[in-house]
Amino acid sequence: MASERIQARAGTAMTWVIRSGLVTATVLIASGLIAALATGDTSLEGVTIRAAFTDAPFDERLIVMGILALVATPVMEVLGLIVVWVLQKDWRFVVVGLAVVAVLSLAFSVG
Amino acid sequence: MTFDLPTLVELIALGLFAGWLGALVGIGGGVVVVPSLVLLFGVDIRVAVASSLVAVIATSAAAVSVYANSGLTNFRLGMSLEIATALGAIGGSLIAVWIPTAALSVIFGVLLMVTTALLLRAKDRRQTTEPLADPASDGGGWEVSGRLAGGFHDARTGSVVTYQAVRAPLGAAISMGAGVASGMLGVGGGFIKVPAMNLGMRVPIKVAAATSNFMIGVTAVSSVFVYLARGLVEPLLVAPLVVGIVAGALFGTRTSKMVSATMLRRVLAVLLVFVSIEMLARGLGVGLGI
Repeated sequence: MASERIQARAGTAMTWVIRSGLVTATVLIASGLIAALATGDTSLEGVTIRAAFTDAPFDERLIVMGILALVATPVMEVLGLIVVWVLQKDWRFVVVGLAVVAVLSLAFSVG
Repeated sequence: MTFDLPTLVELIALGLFAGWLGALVGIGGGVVVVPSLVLLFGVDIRVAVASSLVAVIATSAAAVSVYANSGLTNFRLGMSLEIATALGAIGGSLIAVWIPTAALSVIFGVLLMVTTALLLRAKDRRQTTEPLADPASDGGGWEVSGRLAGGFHDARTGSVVTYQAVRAPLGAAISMGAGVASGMLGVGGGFIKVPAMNLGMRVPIKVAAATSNFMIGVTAVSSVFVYLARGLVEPLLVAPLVVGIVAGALFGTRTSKMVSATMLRRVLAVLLVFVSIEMLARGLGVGLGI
């Protein structure tokens, strides 16, 4: 019964986290678009994360921050699930969750 | 191509269309965005794939936020399969940045043909590959701790459906293939994962679709890093697409009862045949200008 309560609360918490991530990302991206129109930035060129925070114009920085907020949302989902399974003492799936985090870390380092 | 107001409007419109279509027939995202960017906007296919992956993360997050409380998503199943899928996605994205763009166009053309065949095979919306359940009425679902099992209340039949996933290694192997397709071509890969879970692992279609939506976002994240690091994400190209897709998906969910999904699917299938031929021809160096 305690496990079901944790599951229900986790569903609500996850919905809140995802919606917050989506809203943050959308606001940053839309602000970046408005800034691009206002400043007359017309360059359609790719940027790396590093360049976005050093050389890129302000509007593109905002958009890249929005993209990073978007990318962080599924990562938060994965971390949230691991916490839920720790609370439920479902160790088998805690290991599964940590394996997914390891693969995501691999993706980040390969990138 | 430069960024100006008309381009902004066109990109938002493309995103709206892709998001709306995805919500209605379950196939949108990459299948629409990538060829549209390549053929209509003259964007490099790798940049188009990277843009599509960012958009896929947005649509997945929107879908998960709707389904998380219904209990239809089996997170234990999704995370178990995600290990193989995310590894496949990393491999797919590395292949995409390594092989010639012409080869990527040909592979995308073949993928579109497969997608068209799947579209025409689906008898109704409930057999396609994306959000299938009605989160307002279906739900009350649960997962069994320590196992790949669960259940939910099916509003259509009024019954309680329980399930136990079988053949996990088979599901993981197919999911890895879906990950490769996603990372290489910028698609969600739900059209591979949902049948794998449903037919291969005997998971109910509603659970398979909701679980696939959760997985798609995590998979896209694992490949988008590869594109971001190589400067293939163009902020002013991605931004209008994301805004359009999120709005289109919300609009599609609200208009789903006003449009015939069957008719839409047939029109889309015809369109995809032409697009797949053009992508194949372009990859083979004989652009037809369709």
